[in-house]
Amino acid sequence: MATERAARNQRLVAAGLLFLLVGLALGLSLGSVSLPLRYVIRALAKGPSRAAVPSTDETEALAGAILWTLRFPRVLLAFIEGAGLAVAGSVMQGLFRNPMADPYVLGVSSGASLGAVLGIALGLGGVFGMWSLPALAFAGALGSAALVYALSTHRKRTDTWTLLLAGIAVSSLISSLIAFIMVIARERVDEIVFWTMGALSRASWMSVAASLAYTVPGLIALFRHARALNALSFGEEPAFHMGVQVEEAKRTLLWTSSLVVAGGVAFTGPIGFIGLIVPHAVRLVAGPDHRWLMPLSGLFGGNALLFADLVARVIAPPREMPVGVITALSGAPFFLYLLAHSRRRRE
Amino acid sequence: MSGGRVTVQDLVFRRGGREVLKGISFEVEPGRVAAVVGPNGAGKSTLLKVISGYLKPASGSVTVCGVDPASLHPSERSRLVTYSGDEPDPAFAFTVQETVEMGRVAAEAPVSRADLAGALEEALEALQLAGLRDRPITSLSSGERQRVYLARALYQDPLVILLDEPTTHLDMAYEVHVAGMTRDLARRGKTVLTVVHDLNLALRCADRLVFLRDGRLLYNVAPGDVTSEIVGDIYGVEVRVASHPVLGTPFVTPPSSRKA
Repeated sequence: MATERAARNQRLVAAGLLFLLVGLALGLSLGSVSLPLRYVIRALAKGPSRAAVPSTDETEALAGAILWTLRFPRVLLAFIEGAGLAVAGSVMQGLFRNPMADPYVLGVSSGASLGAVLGIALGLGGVFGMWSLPALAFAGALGSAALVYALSTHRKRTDTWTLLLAGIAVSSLISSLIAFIMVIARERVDEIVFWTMGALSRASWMSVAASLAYTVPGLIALFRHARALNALSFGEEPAFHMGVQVEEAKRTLLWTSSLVVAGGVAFTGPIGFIGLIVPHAVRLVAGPDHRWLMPLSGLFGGNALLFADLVARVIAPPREMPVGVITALSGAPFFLYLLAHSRRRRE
Repeated sequence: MSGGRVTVQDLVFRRGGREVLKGISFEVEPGRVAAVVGPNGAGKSTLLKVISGYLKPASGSVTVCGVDPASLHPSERSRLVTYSGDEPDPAFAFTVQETVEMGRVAAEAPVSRADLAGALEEALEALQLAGLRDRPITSLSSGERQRVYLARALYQDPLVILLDEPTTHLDMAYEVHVAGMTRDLARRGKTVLTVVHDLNLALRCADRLVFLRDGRLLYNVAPGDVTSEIVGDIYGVEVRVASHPVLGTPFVTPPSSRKA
């Protein structure tokens, strides 16, 4: 069984990589302008500096420019953020021993929204150039996480149950603050609504570089705690008796996953359902061992957001849907299906 | 392999301002089985959890092999002492084998892989779980699950094993089996403290009986010295202590309800 499971999970990795390749190819060639795959391949081979140089073929030069400045950073950001969301989701679900937990448990998503909404309403968008809104959103996300964490930590022990409730309370408090701001700053409502729906259209090489810089070390730190998380998913007291450093592991897992999510959300706005559904679905196939569950969730979470963004770009041309709408539209029914399915399996 | 000596000195534990343990002192010799017995709410589970290092005493001390388990790094502590008791329902479908393997989750540099595999088989075998190894624990009965958690504690292989009602969910055959396993652990040099509700089971498998009532240790006696007065004092019921017709060990029979 153990080897069977390993073999099956290796096949899952292969399938995930194949999906990724297809997703990248489609993500690069489809959009408001569709580019033939041979242009994509040639532009990639030429590199960013030479692909956009007008050559004999004007279309090809245009394709090179679109690819290297818009689509390539966009598909990368989609994959990175999807991976971060899904891994963070698997961590929160394990930690809270609850497959309904999502990466926004600490109020990261509403905190980020509050930061960005404040920035938009006060017209701070240009103060620090393109970094203003992401910086404000990031600060809001971490501020909210810190508040929820502080509310549920007493004498260096964090109570997970209190954490869950404090997260819900802080999130709804922030949501009402956002509603309040939207009423006051009515002339900017469109901008605010668009931000809070989550979109990848603002992707750039800068945002890719920034999100890589915290996602990669963050994911490594999370993967290193996979065994401790396995033990913790039996409950904190059993994990203590197995010799796990319970409080240290909890702190690292909570903060690292919140940081990874905050970084992504800062650039794109909150994107729902990826962090809830992907780990849940992967667990049904690959089993609950976090040494497999975390990396596989990362792979499939990245793919899921990549494909969702693809749909967002082509579903209603020439308009583009916010990707958050697509993940919710496809995620919610899929989640209901999983619920019904897992219930049937139990009975 | 030498077992660990457990020394408890003037132990006081408070929960919500109430004293749950009121100055408890006793010692368990290495390689011995001590049964902690007493009525509900006497503080038996709390005593075990304080010894494990999970709960911090208000005053007094606990040492295992001369050190306070709570002062150790968790991975060192896990080699010295573990506690096995009731657990929350499993949230995820780990298999039986994966669950037992978590007994070594904190072990740093393990002995050779072959030794580890041997120890795993031994632990599965000891609780007769080999046939269930690929079953998800979410599909097991509470008795089967209890055996899985016991096997995990055995695989963890510390010097001192604290068992909190290890037979609650078990049928009679497994109850006898676990009693035998407890003796076996002691023979191999482990020190075992076990909370047991069935006095007769305690009398059969323990070297010492530690009687608690209301957070105080009232008697600490060998099975042969258990009298009807002691049991009456602890539980407030009249019993007879006789010699077991087959085993020759002391045997407690409750008063006949018809007489009362």
